[in-house]
Amino acid sequence: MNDEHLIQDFLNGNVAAFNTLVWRWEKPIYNFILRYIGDGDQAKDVMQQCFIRTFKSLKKLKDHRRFSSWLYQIAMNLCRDELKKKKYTTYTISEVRDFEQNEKSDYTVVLADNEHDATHLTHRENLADLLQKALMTIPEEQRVVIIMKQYHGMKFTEIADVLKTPINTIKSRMYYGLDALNVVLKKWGVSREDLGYEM
Amino acid sequence: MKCDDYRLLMMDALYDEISADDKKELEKHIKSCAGCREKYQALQLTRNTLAGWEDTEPRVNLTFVSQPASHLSDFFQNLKTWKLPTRLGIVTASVLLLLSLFNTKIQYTDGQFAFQMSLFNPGPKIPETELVTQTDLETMRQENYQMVATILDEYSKRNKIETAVMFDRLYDELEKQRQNDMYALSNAVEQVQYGTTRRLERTDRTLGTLIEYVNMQNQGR
Repeated sequence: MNDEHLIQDFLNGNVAAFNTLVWRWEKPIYNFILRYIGDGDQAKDVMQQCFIRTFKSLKKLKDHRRFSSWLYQIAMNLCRDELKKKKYTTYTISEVRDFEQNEKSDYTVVLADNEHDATHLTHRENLADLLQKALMTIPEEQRVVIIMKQYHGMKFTEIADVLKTPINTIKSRMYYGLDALNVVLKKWGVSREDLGYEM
Repeated sequence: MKCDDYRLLMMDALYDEISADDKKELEKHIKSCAGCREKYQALQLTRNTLAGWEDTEPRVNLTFVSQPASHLSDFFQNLKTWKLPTRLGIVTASVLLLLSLFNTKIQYTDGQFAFQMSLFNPGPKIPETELVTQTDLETMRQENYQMVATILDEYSKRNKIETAVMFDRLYDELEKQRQNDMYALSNAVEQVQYGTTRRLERTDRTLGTLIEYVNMQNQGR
């Protein structure tokens, strides 16, 4: 049974259909939120809020075929609210590059790892933690595009639809986001050998 | 096309969303441009690195249960979906019905029910026994006449008393003024008498001295 049928069932009063939707979507939504805000516990809370909001406002969704885009929009808005509320620190590309040039030492959390050598870093951190931190260094607008494309397999047209942004702007953000991540990962000494998997 | 223009094509190629023609064009450019080739390889590496981060299970048991049915809330929810004229009509009808219910009267008299409904409160009903007759009106008229006469009489009396009191006060004032004048006049007369006496005494002494002088002259001769 596809999402549209489940939504129709739910709107006809069958709550179990909504639970099926939750079980189907909780993993991708959780991972989307986790990669967006970078905190597992917060991600669980935000995911719950996301499905509660979905439960309350699913009646308003006119085109049921857009359910996944709509769900990602809700999740994205909640993530933005959460980041504003918690005042998470993110770093811009220029800041990362400044660091690269000037060897600044006041970028705590993420860039303090630069003091360790690459081998030690790779052994201490697992890949998920490392990439999580790397993602948090790039601007939010680039991060969300990379998450949607890389981890949720969305087409550029779908991302453009969710973010209400021209498709070329989406591709441009993707390009600069990947470029910035490349700079950060290279700076931290993360290479194919360090990661230990086949490319 | 410039190198910057190939960035968007690189993204398409990186995620297999590129057309065959664009792919050929991009490959041709990458072969001839070392900078773009290096950049594309770096982007591929980053994409592959990111791919190593696998999804994790949320481990949250999120289950929704149905809410208890509430017809009232359903009604208000449905109300929101209706068009404005329909909503206005329903609200107006509800208000009129409510007003009517507030002004509903049910009476039971001699085995029969009487049901009366009105939009507005007609006010308390006046019993027929309390209706005013012609005699009552005449009595009320006379009472009113007497009351007015009494008021006029009292008013006249009061005016007279006030006039008398005013005259008494005026008389007192005049008397007080007259006494003051008399007192001032007697003082003035006394002053005049005292001055005249002094002048007469002085004249008398002068004449006495003169007589003595004349007598002495006569005695010297």
